[in-house]
Amino acid sequence: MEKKSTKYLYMFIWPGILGFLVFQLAPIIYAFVLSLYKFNGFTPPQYIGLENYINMFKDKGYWQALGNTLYMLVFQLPLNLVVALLMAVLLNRKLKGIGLFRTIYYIPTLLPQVAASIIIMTLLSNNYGLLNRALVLMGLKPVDWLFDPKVVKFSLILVGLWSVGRGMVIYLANLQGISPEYYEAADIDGARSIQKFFRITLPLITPSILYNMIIEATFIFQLFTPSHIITKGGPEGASTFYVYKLYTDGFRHSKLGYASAQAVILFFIMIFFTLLSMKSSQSWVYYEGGTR
Amino acid sequence: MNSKILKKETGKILLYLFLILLAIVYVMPFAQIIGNSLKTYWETQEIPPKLLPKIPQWKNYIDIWNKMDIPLVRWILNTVFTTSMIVIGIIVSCSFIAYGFARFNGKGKNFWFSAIMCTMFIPIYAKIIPTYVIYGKLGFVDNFLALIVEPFFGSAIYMFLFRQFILTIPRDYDEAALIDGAGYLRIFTQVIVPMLKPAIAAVAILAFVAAWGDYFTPMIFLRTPAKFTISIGLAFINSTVVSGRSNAHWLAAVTVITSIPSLIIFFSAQKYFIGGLTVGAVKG
Repeated sequence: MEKKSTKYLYMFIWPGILGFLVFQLAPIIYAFVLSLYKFNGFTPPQYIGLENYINMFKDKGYWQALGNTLYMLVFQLPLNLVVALLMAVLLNRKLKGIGLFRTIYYIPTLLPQVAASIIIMTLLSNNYGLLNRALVLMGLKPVDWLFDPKVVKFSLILVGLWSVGRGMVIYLANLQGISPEYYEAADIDGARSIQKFFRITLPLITPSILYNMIIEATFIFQLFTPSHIITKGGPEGASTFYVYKLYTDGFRHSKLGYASAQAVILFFIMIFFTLLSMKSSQSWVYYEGGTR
Repeated sequence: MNSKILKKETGKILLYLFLILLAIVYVMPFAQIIGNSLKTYWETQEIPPKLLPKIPQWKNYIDIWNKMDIPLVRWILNTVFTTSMIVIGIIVSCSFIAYGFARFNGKGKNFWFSAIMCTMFIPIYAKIIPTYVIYGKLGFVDNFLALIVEPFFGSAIYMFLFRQFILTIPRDYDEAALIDGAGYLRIFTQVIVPMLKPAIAAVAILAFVAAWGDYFTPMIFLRTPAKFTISIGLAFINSTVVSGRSNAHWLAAVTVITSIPSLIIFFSAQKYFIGGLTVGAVKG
């Protein structure tokens, strides 16, 4: 059986290899090539070497978009990870009706992206939104959530908390897999809940922290729909994130070569971030059974 | 002793209070959109806004189909078609490929497995320009093929999920069938696939929610309104509301309608959903 195994392996995995070559590798290579050309999609492409990359360095809009995305990464990523974990810990007990709460917190992640954007836009609307109405009723000042360049990213971070359920269910599953014996042993030793959390729970859920970190980071790098539906990247470019910039340059301004150069850099950023998470995980992710 | 019980009970009540408060925050956005969908046009324009209409206008949910001058039914049928093709493509290709990776060893296995896994981190946005150019040459632009061909060639995350699941099925089943003279293709379709039901359900739900709610890919490739999926259509209605050519109460109703299929799918198979989501993360 072992001898012929290679044959059977490829009999089953060939569609995956084909998909990898045609739908993943080829576009990435082609993006590299296109990034060296001036190309509007209609007239023949014109070779310009690294000019697209040089222009990118001089393009203030590009730096702003990159900065906006990194801003979200720095503030939204840790916030989401922590809040999702807190909620999972809170919901990880056998109480009546706890399943209902889990479901309620999870539902927003199921919404179609455009529907979610419209729902958020309605809630945060200056005059028609219930959030500002609630603030006024509590005697506070209404906030210009979506059209003040200083506020809009903060609003989107808040909105991000609405879909924190995505990470929460991963943590929950991990928490439920922890053997109660650990806690019983700690109880006998007289450990406090805080100690139990930091000494037992936290180390044992590091695998799902890593998983959520990578998944949430890819979500942040791909933040597009709210900018496209709600703010059009504004005000003053404050919600123009990386892929929104790439999209407008490529498809609105027909600068396909320039957008490809941005895509190439995005590709490297993603690879870098993923490798960094994986590499660093060796020092902080704990796998039961001892192999690190 | 009594004070200890008291302390425990108070803690429980405080926890419930907090959970309820949080639930209200989470439900609020839905409440306003559902409220708006049942208002008259003028009620949506009231300042300050009210959560609920005086009299619920259920007829809004009838009017959106025939008074808005847009092919709403067509958009939904388009989305049903593209979504089902994507889900079928993913289930067929990913379970098939996963069986190969889970059961056989051979030269190049690790290389191809890692290569395919890496694509999980390549965002569609990094590939969209070349894909657009290539699809343009193939005649895929403004064509559903742009959405439904790729899923038939595997998708890293779902393939991984199937592989993890197949690894939990003892090889004895395969070997027993082999002794009975079955080929691997038959073993896969007649022995393995029936046992994959929970994984298939989980992947179907995950892929459905993603495909039904996808905006970027269809928005790039589909051009004529008759070909729109519901998400592009919804964005279109939204842009006409912003520019004052359509009505906020209808927009709200269509938003609700668009969200319902994913919720139904979720509630009908909730247990598979959570299990499916987590098999990859926890078993690593």
